[in-house]
Amino acid sequence: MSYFQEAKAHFVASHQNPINQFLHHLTNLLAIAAVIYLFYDWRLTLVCLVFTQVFALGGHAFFEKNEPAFVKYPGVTILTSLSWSFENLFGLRQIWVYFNRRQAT
Amino acid sequence: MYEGLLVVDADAHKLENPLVMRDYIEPEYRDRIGLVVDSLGDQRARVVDFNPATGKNDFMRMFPQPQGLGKGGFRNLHPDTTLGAMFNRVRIEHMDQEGVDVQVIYGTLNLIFSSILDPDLAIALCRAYNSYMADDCRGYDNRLKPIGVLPLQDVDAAVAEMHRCVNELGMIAVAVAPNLPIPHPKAPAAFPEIRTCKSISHPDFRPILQAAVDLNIALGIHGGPGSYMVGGLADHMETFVLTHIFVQRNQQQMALARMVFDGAFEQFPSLRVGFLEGGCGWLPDLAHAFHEHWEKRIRDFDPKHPYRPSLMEFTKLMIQERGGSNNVNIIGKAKNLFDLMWNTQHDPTKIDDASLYEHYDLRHRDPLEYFERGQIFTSFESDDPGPAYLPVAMGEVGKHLACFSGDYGHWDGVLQDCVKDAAAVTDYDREHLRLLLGGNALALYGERLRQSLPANTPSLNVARP
Repeated sequence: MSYFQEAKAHFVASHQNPINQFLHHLTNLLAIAAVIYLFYDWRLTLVCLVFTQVFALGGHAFFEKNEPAFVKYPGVTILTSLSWSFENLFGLRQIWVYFNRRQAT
Repeated sequence: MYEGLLVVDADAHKLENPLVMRDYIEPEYRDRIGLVVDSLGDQRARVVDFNPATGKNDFMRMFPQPQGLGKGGFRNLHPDTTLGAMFNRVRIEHMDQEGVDVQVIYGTLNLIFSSILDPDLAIALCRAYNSYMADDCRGYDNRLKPIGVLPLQDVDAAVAEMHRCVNELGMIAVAVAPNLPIPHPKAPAAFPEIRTCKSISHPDFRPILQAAVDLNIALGIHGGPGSYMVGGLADHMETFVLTHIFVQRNQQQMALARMVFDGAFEQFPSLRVGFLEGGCGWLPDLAHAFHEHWEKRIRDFDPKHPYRPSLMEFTKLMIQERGGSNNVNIIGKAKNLFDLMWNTQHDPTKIDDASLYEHYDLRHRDPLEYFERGQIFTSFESDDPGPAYLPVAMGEVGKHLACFSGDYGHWDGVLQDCVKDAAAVTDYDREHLRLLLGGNALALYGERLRQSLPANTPSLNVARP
């Protein structure tokens, strides 16, 4: 298993609370927005980056109640995080699975 | 004497002469025990026992058990020692020939007494045997030391008989069975064919252990095949060869384990017990198992806080092993499994059940201490390599655990060169050999043996490590 795959598994496992998951998808959207705003207004980029940290750290502190994934895998966490968000269509897939499961029961 | 060292046979045997034994049995019990020859021409004791099904004394039993799982022996008479086991004149000649100074003598028929269902008959037979043996071994320059036998079926009678054996008959110790067969709770009607047992360390038997401490005598635990005692693996063997491979050591192993973990050695720190005729080579392994289980399941065991992995770590490993592009389902499944295995409804910290604390009152004592303080002894026979490696496996204490036994009188005993062969198993140093041939037996049987040794016996220092 590659380092990235290991870090990804760790990232997925440490983001199981639905609210924390929502906050991290939001964080990833803000991170993308921050990159785009860099070409328009650096201050908006700064605001976006501040919010990414507020949402990500807040999600772990108040909902997931564990340490953020970057503590263990600092080098690749942003990549695993984005990979996870794209894989799950920024939360749409999780919502889809949730409602399917409810219907089944 | 072997090269100037005292030799004590710590577990020799008597073959009870039925003609003589009969004279010692109270008249009302005489017709309830006799000698018969089975269909294969072997001698058996025929006992008319109490029948739990009818409530009368009409249960015909044969000992040792001639057929079936756990069967007893056949063609069991040793060509060299049978007559000596019956007649002491021959026995003494053999002792002189082999250099055995003292024989501590257990019986043969008496080894089944604890399986008799009628307590009154068992008491009568024990009393008869003990009186017979005391008379039989008297004289001979104190070289023959008969061991009394106790009826476990009646604890009060057993304690009284112990006092009689020591104080009136002058015996140096008593023998008890490793266990008393009792009905199995799942099949009480099938008793004694299907059975469980009360081990000698059972709380009911504690007065017997207390009496042994009060009298400062050793308890010699001696089992036997085909006796209807619980015999471990032997109970599942249909040939005598297989039965006999397991029966003695399994009975002793079970008795020893129960003595340790039932807290008998803890309650009676000066009690000395000989676990006899089961060899000694297995002792390091069993002692290690005692220590390991005490350490991991008693001393360090915390039933209130069992291991509980983190959900995150558990999920991560699930993803690593089974994950793919869709990890949402994996997470759900991992969470469900986690909740099933470590659910909050059965929070271990909130469950208070005494059965979780097994042997909790022994948490302060490593079972190995019972070996070191001289409470546990075993025996070895002349061709047994066990004593040579006990010190290798257990350290210095390993020299102080095994007592020489010729098993005189039984089919598997050795007469010719028995002492010489025992001494030559390996290159023992003289101190170690002194312990094996006599010193350990003196430590086991204690002052009553030491004070009644034959004249001209070398004095021995039997200090513990």
